[in-house]
Amino acid sequence: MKKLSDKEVERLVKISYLELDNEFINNSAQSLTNIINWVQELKSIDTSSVQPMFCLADFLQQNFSTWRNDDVVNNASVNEILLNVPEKEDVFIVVPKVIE
Amino acid sequence: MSLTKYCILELSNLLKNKKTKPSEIINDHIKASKLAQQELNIYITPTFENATQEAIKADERWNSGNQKSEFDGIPIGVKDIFLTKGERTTNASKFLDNFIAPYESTVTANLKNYGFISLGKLNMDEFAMGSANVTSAYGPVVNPWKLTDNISRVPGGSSGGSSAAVASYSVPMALGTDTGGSIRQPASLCGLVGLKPTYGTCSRFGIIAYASSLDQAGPLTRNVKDNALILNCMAGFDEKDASMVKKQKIDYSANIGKSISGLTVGIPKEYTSDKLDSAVNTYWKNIANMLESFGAKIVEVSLPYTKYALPVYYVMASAEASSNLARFDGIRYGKQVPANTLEEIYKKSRTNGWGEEVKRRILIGSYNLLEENFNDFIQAAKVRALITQDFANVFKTVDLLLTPTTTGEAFGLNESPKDPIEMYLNDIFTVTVNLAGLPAISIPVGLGKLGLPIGMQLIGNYFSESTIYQVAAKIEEQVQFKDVSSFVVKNNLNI
Repeated sequence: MKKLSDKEVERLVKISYLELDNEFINNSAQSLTNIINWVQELKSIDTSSVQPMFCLADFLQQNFSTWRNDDVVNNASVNEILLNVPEKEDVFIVVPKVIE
Repeated sequence: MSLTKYCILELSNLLKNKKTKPSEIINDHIKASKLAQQELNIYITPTFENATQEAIKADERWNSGNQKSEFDGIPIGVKDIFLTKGERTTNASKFLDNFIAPYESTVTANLKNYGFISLGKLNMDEFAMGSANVTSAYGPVVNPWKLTDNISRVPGGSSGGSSAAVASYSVPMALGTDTGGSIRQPASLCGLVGLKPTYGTCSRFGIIAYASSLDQAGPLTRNVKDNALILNCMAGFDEKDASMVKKQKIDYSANIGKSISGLTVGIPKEYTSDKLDSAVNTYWKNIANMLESFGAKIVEVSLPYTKYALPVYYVMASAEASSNLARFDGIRYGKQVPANTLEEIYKKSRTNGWGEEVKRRILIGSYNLLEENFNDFIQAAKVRALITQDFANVFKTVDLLLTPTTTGEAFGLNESPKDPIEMYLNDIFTVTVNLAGLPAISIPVGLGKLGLPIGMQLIGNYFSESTIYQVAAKIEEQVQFKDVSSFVVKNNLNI
């Protein structure tokens, strides 16, 4: 059974923007191994004449989306948008310096 | 006497006949809710004061003949995954512990337009990831069906608070969401009717996304008619959800009471197993025989790609979840852990905000989204199409499929199904439906060996909810499931 190397797990943790300790990673090892093996299992199926289905619209070959005119629609006030911002100043969201 | 004993239709008739008023209904349900909260932990944020105020306004509307609808003033519970404007919405997570919804979800707005009054935001598995309501940051929910052995049991998940709220008579209806079975499975474990509608029937606008191609909102009720009446109110085209289908509004309850003679019901052979609880097997056979006795044709069908459903589900759902949860950065909302750099804020806030299960699924999803695994992801999407084609093939000759909802009764809070095949079967019954976007309902059919509820599932073709309700109502009429949870009996909430 294929298992992810420590380096591969580290990379997953990095791209997920998480900080995880070894205990958590060890506890999750089985789930990670399962998914790898499941992916292998799927590889054996002949799908040469099949279109991928990402959602129901793909399968039903219907365009579910509707279009509206490209008009400005004001659905939210500034107060609503900033309501849950942890750190703000006036109408700005405060973040650490990003440009040196 | 408690007004909690009445279902939605009964409450509506009482209101129409001036035998009661909204404030009395709300009052009785708040009393029941307080008891349930102490013992079962069903709410994350009760909103009893607001509900009382809304009930007074509803009283005035009924008095002046200006009621919003026949349901004006009837209480409901709302899974804490729905944004309700101005109210705390946590998705059962520390990350959103202080999050106040800046807007209202379409489904809750629709229900409020009919006059339904929310008693509060209901507990659930964190970020809808779980099937026992044990991953919530606000503590587990206890199933109101407790036996004399006094073991606390799970209500199912992720809509565990919703199912416990309805089964404890705290509300006659609660909203849930279903991504892999999260309405149907708790409905089965709590003796309720729970429907996952066809994908695209109810708007997902204002529902915190887990897996966007699988999520769907639906009602949990104590009977089939109530469920259909609620779906009438919830469903409807919303231009703010691009995955919605523009369909003419119909009365989903129209076929309830009609004969089922001539309908064909399929039994998928891949869902049978000697690992199923013997009581579940017995009910499955008996229900099929009963439907046949009323003129339905019962046939065996095959869904050959069933065995690949779990791999496909876990690849695609985790990938979608990982992508959806990338928005939680602690900058625009969510509990921020201060740090010196942006990257540190993201990492620390996300790590601190979520529990293990959520983080695990993000990791798995990230794996499936790696560039070098792109072809594997496409392969999973192609197998999803094959699974969906299986259903399309059988629906050429059958109207509905009859399957169990779960492998057995509710398990203890401190245990989980240990047999891997049992765990597999539990998921297979429900996730295939989400992958294909089909509608499905769970209805209680009786009690198992332990004395806890067991549910059966009906799966229909796209937009066949009326037919599903038609057959579900026949099953309900014949099984006469009148049992109630020990919590309800103990507190006299059904008399």
